[in-house]
Amino acid sequence: MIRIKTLPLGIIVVAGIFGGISIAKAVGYYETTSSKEPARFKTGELAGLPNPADIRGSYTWLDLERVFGIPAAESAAAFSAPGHALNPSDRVSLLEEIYLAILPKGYEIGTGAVRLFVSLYTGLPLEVEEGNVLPDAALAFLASRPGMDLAVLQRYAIPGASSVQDSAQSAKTEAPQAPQDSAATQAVSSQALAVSGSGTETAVATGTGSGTGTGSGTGSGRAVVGKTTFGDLYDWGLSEAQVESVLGYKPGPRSQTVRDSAAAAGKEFSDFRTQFQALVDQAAP
Amino acid sequence: MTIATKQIKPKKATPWLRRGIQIFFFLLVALIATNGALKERGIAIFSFVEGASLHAICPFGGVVSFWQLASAGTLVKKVHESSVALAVIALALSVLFGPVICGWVCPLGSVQEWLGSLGRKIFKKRYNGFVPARLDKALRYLRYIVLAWVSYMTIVSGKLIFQDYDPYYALFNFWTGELALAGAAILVATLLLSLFVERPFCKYACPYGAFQGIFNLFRIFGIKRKASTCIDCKACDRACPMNIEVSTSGTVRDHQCISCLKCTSEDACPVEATVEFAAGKAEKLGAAS
Ligand code: SF4
Repeated sequence: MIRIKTLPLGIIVVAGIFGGISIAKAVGYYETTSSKEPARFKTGELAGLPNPADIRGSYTWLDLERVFGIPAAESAAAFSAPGHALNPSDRVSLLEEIYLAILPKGYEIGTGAVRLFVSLYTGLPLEVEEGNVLPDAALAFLASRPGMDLAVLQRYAIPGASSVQDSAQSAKTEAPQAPQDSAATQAVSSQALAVSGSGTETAVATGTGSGTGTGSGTGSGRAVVGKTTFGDLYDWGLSEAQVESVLGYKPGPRSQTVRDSAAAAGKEFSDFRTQFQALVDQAAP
Repeated sequence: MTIATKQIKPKKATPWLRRGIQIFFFLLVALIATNGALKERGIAIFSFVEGASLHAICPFGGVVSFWQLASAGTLVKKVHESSVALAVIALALSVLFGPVICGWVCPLGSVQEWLGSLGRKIFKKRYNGFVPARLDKALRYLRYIVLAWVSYMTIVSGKLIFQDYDPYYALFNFWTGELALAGAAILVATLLLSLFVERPFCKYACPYGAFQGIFNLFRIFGIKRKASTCIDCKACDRACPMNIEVSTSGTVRDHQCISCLKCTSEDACPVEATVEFAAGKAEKLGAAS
């Protein structure tokens, strides 16, 4: 017969909790923050590759670059919204807040959309949550990837936004993106785009039904994308001096795209995009 | 048998101990959660305690993550390894002692209890007796419906669905701007009701309490009452925050017991070695002593 009185029980409870925590720490199973290392696929051909489904809101764009090989500056710019230029070091959880007021009811751009973006970029499979859509710039960025199926991308367009075909056209005028392919990307590059699962069917239905608008740029039309010309920048309130200070050289004619200008100068468009977007946002009425 | 023939025990040995532990865990959780929220905002933090999100130090996140962990090897959004580790620790304690986490550690339970002390002062003997017995008995199963709903929704969505309704989350995050209206409303209702009913959220709505309560059915150590020395004064019944009739039980198997030991001979029961927390058959209690 064993009796336990108040004092021993109190000691056992406290010691049990802290002792248990110490043991968990000793065996390396007590992370109180996200490790920024997503779970890996356990079986099949993809075994060992990172699973986009395990991307958390605490990940930054830099984390995604490290794990999935997606250029951080490009993806941060692709998810930037009017008035909200994102930095590569920003957490992806910011998106939910930013896009809440912008998107039609029932649609979401948050961590789920980032998972979708990563899945589409890498070809790694994902069960897509209903209502997830991608910003135009993100779709344009994906469309510029070789072998990307534009019809698949169109499913994830924001209803009423520009069609992916339009965005793709502009993306095609850009020089090759030279993505920093990770092991994950390379391993699945030979596979067909494999976004799978019942959730996808739902996303397809919503995306196809309403995603064929013909606008340009984002909802406000002030997203700096590949087809943005110097004329657009001036129209959006930037001075020639501002543009020159970002470029570091004299800008070309109004009709020239920033992208072409950067390529001609032997620079990357992505080097300028975030800065221009920030200036455009500041100048927004 | 008269009281004179019983061993009347010396007055309460350690009534301060459980309260002290409750205060300690309340402060610890408040500090860790505040530190974690400040850290997320890039603000300087208290260096003497590690900051973490409230989800990271709540074992319930680990419980609702088990399915996803077993099937996909991933954790539910916002849940971390630490929640799983704490869930396992709590599980081990529950198998041994029942819901000690509820009775000794949970800060929301503690806050309800502290407000209950105020209610007891206001309503005296009427306190904790306002809900008609039949209604009360039925309502006690509500928390299993909450548990089933939360578990199902979490499995289906992969999200911590309960966060928006969780008064525990609201209690420590009311200042962060992440507070959901439903969670805030449930917290306010819980605090107000605590002035009339002891631990209303634990009794009627807490999904983790429901999960813990299941272990009362087979916990190794439990509340045992020795009928041969019981003087039938019902002091144990009156002391029990969960309105359990200890005075008619041999071994308390009630799913609502929180292992607080208030009913025992160390506290409410006036007779030595009559209501005890022990392993073994109830009637044999005291035989060895
Ligand atoms: S008073 Fe006794 S029966 Fe009631 S909850 Fe506490 S330990 Fe359980």
